[in-house]
Amino acid sequence: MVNWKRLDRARRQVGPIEVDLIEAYKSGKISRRSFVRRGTIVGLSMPFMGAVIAACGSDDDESEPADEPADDGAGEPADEPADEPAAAGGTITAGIQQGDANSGLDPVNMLDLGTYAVLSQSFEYLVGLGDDGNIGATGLASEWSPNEDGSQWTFTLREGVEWMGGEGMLTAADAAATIERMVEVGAGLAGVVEAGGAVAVDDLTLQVNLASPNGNLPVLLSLFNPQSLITPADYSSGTVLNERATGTGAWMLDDFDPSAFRATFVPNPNWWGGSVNLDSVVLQGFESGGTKVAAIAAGEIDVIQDFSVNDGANLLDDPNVSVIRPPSSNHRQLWFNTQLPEGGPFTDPRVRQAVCYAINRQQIVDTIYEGEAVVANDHPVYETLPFFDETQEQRPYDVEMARQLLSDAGFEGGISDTLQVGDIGEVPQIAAIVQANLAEVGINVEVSVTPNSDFYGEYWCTGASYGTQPETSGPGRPCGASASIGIVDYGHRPTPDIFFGRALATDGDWNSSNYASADFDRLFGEYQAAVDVDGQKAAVSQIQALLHEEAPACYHSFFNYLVGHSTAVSGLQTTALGHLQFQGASIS
Amino acid sequence: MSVEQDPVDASTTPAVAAPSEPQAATRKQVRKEQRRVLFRSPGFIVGCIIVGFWVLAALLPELLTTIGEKEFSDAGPRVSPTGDAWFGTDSVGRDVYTRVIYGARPILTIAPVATALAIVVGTMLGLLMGYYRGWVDEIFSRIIEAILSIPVILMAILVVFTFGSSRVVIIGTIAVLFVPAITRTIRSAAITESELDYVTSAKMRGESGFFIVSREILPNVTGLVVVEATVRLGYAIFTYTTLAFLGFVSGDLTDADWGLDVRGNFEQIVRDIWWPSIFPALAIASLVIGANLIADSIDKALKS
Amino acid sequence: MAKFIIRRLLLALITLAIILVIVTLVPNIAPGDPARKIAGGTASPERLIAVTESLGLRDSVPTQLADLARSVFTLDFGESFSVAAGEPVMSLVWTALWNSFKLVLFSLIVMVPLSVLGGLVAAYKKDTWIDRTIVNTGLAFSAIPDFVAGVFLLAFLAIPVEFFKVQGTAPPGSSLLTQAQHLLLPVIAVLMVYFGYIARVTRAGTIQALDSDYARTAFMRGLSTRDVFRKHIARNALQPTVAVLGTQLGYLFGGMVALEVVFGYQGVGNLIIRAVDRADYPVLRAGVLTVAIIYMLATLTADLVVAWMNPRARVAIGEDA
Repeated sequence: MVNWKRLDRARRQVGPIEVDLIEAYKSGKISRRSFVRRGTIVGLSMPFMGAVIAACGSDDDESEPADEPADDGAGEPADEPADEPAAAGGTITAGIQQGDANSGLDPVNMLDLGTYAVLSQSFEYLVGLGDDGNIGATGLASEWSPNEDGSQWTFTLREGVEWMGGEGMLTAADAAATIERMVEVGAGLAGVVEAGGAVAVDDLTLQVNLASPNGNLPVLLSLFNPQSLITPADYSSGTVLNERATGTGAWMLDDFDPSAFRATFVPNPNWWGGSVNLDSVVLQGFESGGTKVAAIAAGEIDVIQDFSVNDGANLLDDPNVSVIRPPSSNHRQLWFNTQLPEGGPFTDPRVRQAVCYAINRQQIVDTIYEGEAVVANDHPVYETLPFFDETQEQRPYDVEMARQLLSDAGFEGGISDTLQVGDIGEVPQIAAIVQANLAEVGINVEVSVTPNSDFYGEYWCTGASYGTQPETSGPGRPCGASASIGIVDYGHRPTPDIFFGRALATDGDWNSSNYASADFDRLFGEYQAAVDVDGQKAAVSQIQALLHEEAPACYHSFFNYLVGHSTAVSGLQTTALGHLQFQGASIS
Repeated sequence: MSVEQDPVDASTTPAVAAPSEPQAATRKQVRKEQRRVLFRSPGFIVGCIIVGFWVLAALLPELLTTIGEKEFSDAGPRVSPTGDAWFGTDSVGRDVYTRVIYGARPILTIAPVATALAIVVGTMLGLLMGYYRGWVDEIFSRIIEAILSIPVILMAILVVFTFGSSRVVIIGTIAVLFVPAITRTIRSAAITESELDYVTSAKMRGESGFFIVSREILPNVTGLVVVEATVRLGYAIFTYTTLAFLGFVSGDLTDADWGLDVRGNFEQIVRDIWWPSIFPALAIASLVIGANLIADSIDKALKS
Repeated sequence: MAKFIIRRLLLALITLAIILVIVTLVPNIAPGDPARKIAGGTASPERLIAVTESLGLRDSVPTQLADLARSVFTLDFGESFSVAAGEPVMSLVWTALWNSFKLVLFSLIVMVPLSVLGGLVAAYKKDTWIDRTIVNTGLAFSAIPDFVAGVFLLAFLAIPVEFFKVQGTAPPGSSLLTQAQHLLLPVIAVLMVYFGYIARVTRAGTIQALDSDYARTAFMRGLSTRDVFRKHIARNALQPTVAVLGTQLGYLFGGMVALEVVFGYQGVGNLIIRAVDRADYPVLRAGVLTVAIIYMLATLTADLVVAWMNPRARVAIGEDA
């Protein structure tokens, strides 16, 4: 039963975007779960959404009592919250990925999970981690809301937040300067915010004016866009934490050893969130996944930031280790260069489709990921997203179809090429399966595995003729002469904006497919501008169909992001982007 | 790594002592006697059996296994050694036994070719330097010493890093890096030979330097060259597998290759999945030991 | 003796010069733009120029050579690019060197007495089954690549027996004893590789000394085996062993690359591998030079020790190195 009176009252309190969302939920277009996720993004408070849910009655399909989250068994604040008295003191040592020394501890230029984990101890995001593994008002902004079309967002900062480095109190000017720096280096805001777009209205009010309406801005300023850590106004790009230790977060950098990639943190006594349990937190970088797993199995570390099933299958059954699976759209994209070499087999969409039919996705899921993955459908939209179109048919493993498509395209005689992959985790093994799968249909690829320094620079995105080509005004080749077929790694993002904008849009700097599709760019624009779930869903549904048809890349599976911690640790919060939040953590 | 100073030339005196007597008639007899000793030496026989087996595997792998090196075994991935797959299967689901058999191919192409190149160049250089001496010899000796002062594997990494890791580069690298050691050995033998009467008399007869080096000295150091060749073959295997283990090999990386297979699977040992790395490791060990047994037996036979 | 030392030092300097030339030439003849390799594919042109300049690749080769030579004597190799960005290269090298030193020292402590003893026993029991066992197992093990030995140890010792550690590096702040415990497996691998080799050298030296006239005379004079050994043999028999140890020290420091990788041990070899992986030229060349210099110093010391032990060797070494 819908309580119209309550609902009406709710509707009157908010703007048009929020009303759309409430309508979508009321009419059953989106699930309660999607409503909560989306509501958080547009800045609705939990009590408010609770009121709406209550007003709409509980005729919703998956609606059990009020307190929603906690059913994807993952990503949630890992553990039982504070009802048991937390043991005070102690040190937690976490094994993390060895950070990339090229960027160093530079918040706006970092690129790897190891550095994300280190820097997000001292620095904080505008928008933090919510209870359900998505975003929530746990960061530096206590609330936020869009204008009526989503082209301007206003964030209200928390009061009484102080910089550890003696810069005084946090103000909106710091946040505006951070956003300015992000715009300058790209950092996930390219095309969304333009220079000068972020304005400090007063000390605690930040206004972000967008190039065009965007319904997902809070996500782009949350921990899910890791480079968006808020730094002091004069913290220029290239400054590293170990040279200028500051931040607003719960932890203060005590010591950093760059060659061992070992960072020690002690509590920040002035943290706005109150006091913490631990005496210190140590983050230790590891070169290889195997040794990191060995270290937690031996009890040398208490937390493992991430591990692959391949390395750490034993941890899954280890009674002393709890495994967390935060929601994850991690994938290994198999790209095809849709433009080069000119006239090459993979410039023909039929050949690309053939490859997608020929790949035995289930085999990859079962063999490489040992079941810790799900089959994907040649687009990067993860199935738990509210705008995911579940009506689209899954591309089957169909060798006959693949052969047919190849012969239609005039390649009955077979194709020979080189599959370029980096030496990253399980990627060479995926390549081995892909190679054998393709051999079945007459595509013979040689697998070339190169060290990462060569792979990213020489085969993935060579950087030659970067960006669109104004001189010819022809389609861009954003990645230049990337290899004609290859596999590259993508980490988790809570919304597919990054995957769309950087890996598939014509201007995308990670677009190794050199995919230049006006249709796609238009749909991506529509998706970004859509501020209601309906609009997003309409655009995403077409994107899914388009990518499925043109197959600039084959997305074969999404695999679980696995975090482990010793059973002595409780209260740890994690994301699939490497964040480890120890604020509520304790160790016994 | 003991890449440079090997057991054979570690035994203080060079192996040239025995065959250096110049009488042509007895040389033949000595050779015959040496061969007799050699063919009866158990080390030689065992070495030949081991190396022979791997040569067979490299030439005709289909004889020894019915599965392809990249095919998935019916047994599924990560199966421990059982009746179906008696060396087990790896994490992609390929048959480890088949991988070990096919894995003999790259190593038995690269190591012999590299060794042969190194022997030809090294012997020539060594003979010329030993015979002519002079300042060229002096300069080359210093360069050789400098190269030998960096562990072979490090030099190999440096070179492969510079020129890429294609098979051709790897063969060239191993060959070039082995030249100094061979040159040094042959050079000191050539010096000893040059001081003997038969060379002096050839000089008096007015023979050309080329004639003396190729017709007089070379035949008297052949034994040494053979020993060097077998010893270097062992080290070439050693060097190539190490480079592969460290990931400095390109080409189709799903081809079976012992070093690469150890690299790809050894971290699984902590999961108790030892078979995909231990069997190729055993194969490497057996081949190196086989080659060394042969080298050692030849050396002993020449000294007998 | 002084003349010998001077000559030997000069030789070492020439060697060093040649190595410097090789190391300088590497980035200059490498195909592709080393700056792009270091900075990554998406680096901006400005960054590329900055990297090229800081590598000194704009200068002529002789200038680069002079700069590198100066670096060797001032111990300043600039900053690391990608292994630990901004860190002085030498601080990385010192850390790695210290780790390698620990491994080498422990290895020597275990390896030398055991293999010398093995060699002596084999020599005294020449041509018996004991001799053959020592020589043949030693030969078999020393032929096996170090990483293969390491992998065997992992599978058959580290996994079944908890006492043995998978990691060569102990957690930071561990006691000396724990560190030694972690180092044990790499040390055993080193022992496997070197035992046969050193034992054979010792054996050959001892047999030669035993066969010598002075030893025979000493025995005839009725001296006990022990006395003969102490008075006459030890000095002569162990000369080749010392010489060999000298040459092997360099390999222990820099040639154990694969073994360090197996046990995740952060020694000089691993540093060089990391430098190659990330195309960090400054670290790479400092690492390679370090190994070469250690090797040079070790052989130099060994030659001097041998010369001190046996005056006749001075001539030989001086003449024909």
